[in-house]
Amino acid sequence: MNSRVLLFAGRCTWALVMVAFAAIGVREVSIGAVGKFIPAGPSASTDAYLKTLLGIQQPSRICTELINRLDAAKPIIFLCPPRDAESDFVYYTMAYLTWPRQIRKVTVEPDGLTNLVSTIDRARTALIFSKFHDLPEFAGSQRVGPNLLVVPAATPK
Amino acid sequence: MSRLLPTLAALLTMFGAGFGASMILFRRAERIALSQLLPMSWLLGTAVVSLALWSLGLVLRGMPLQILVTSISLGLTAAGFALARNANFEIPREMRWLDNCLAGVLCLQIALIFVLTFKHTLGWDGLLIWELKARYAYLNGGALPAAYFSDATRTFSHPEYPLYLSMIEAWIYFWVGEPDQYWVKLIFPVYYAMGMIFLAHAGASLSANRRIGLLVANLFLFIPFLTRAAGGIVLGYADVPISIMYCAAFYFLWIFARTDSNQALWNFLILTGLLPWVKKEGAILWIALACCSAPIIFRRRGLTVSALSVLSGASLIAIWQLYLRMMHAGPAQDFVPVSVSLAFSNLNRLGPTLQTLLEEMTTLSRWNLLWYMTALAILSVALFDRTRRAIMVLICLMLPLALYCLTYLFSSWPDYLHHVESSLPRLLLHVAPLAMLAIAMALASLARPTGKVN
Repeated sequence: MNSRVLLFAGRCTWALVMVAFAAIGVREVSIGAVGKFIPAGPSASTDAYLKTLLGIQQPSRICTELINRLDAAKPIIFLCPPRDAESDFVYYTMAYLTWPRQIRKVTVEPDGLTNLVSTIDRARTALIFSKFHDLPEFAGSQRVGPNLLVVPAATPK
Repeated sequence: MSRLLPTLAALLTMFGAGFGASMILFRRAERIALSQLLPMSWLLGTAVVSLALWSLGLVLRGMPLQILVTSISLGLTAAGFALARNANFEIPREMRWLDNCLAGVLCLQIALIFVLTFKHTLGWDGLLIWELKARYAYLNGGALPAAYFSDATRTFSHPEYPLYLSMIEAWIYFWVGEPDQYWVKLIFPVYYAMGMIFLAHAGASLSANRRIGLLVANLFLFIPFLTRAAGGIVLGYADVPISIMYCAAFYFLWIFARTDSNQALWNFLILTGLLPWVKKEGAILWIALACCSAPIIFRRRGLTVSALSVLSGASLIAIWQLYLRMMHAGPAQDFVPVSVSLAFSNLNRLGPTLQTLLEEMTTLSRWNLLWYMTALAILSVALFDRTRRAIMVLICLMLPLALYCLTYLFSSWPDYLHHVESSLPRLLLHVAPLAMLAIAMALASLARPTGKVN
């Protein structure tokens, strides 16, 4: 008798738990299912990320072309504020896109930027600034969206 | 759409290679269940192509490499068809209306995963760890450039991680003709489909009830982590693939323990040996399976075979480490070298790690009631089903989780809890299909003997 009761209780418990599991599951999966399809294309993922982060169309192509225009023999330094997840992601994606170019990330607080840049050998290094807006020294450089500035290595006079 | 056809061709060559390899393994089987053959064809095919591409890529590049790997695939496919002529295939018969209904819903769920895949981009790991390597390998003619392994500016992509997934992706690029982050995602719903067919098969075998097998495969989609979190199937991570391979390896170990079949032993050895090739954590899953299998194999086949069984995974780990040394790859960034003294000095990390694990397991928006159900299943099994298979499931379910928690004693992150929070949730996924098998066993112990399968 005891084992029968136990078996009945077990079946009821499992039935309830599985109904609850399915109900919660349907709700959670339907939340995850909303949203548009991503546009097809060889750079579907990097485009989706960079479009949001840089605010430009066809960002993967533009960034790759821009980096390819820089002197291949000279490394690139990517300067961005510390603890800035968006800049970090832009850096990783640019490093991904621009293989085999050497591209190194350096984080710096805005008030230390001028000092840091003055220590860099500008003739041997190209610079990319992320989320630094007050840069009159590089006013003529290529801007990519509102947050990114690409500065080629300086030509020796 | 023009890229869909070459992508499908690449997937078919992998299926073909796996079909041949599976037929060679199953050649002495009295009957071959299609629900077992299909997933095994995928698992073995992807392994054959990725290993062939990686190893042959050391000496060949570009078109010759593609031709050679395609020839291997076609050769295996032809061998498979030759063996299939004398094989006895088992097609599910006498399906009742509820079985048909569950099979139909499972098909709809798989279709949903195909749809969801193209609603999401590749995630962080999917893009910057796995696809990045595939892209660089393809651009270098099929093999990762040696310079990549020692490039200090690309350490974020973990050059030391194994290449299973990246090589499969690179294989698709060979067929498409250029890296394509969109169509490469087709791998993942195929993986899900094959995984669910296998889960239904294994669940039906373990519970001796087809309906229960189909039910647990249906329930799997209701784990929100699969479709909503980093690590899920739609973002191109390696966690679902490794969980399916782990589940399949466990299944064949159980078949071997039950039937003493050489064929099951070979399947187990191959799948368990492949685990470290899929993901770094595969080494831990391999250890868990080795601990569980060693006494079983020892009792059935003696010490030599038991020792040899451990070699399958160990040799792959050793070869990979040797390759990394040859390439001058830097050491892993996330962990410091293991030592007993360090383990003791960091023992205080264990409590917070376990607490994080518990909090994660009980988060409904990520895991639904999965881990509550697993606890209930363990209780049910302990009450109604005190058999060897129950002990095997428990070991293979709990041991990897325990070992994963212990690895954080050696975390090199400044805040180890941040490391735990960012990686442990994904690791739980590795044992999720096995948790479903535990639930299948628990349901079997309560179910009426209806819809039995052989």
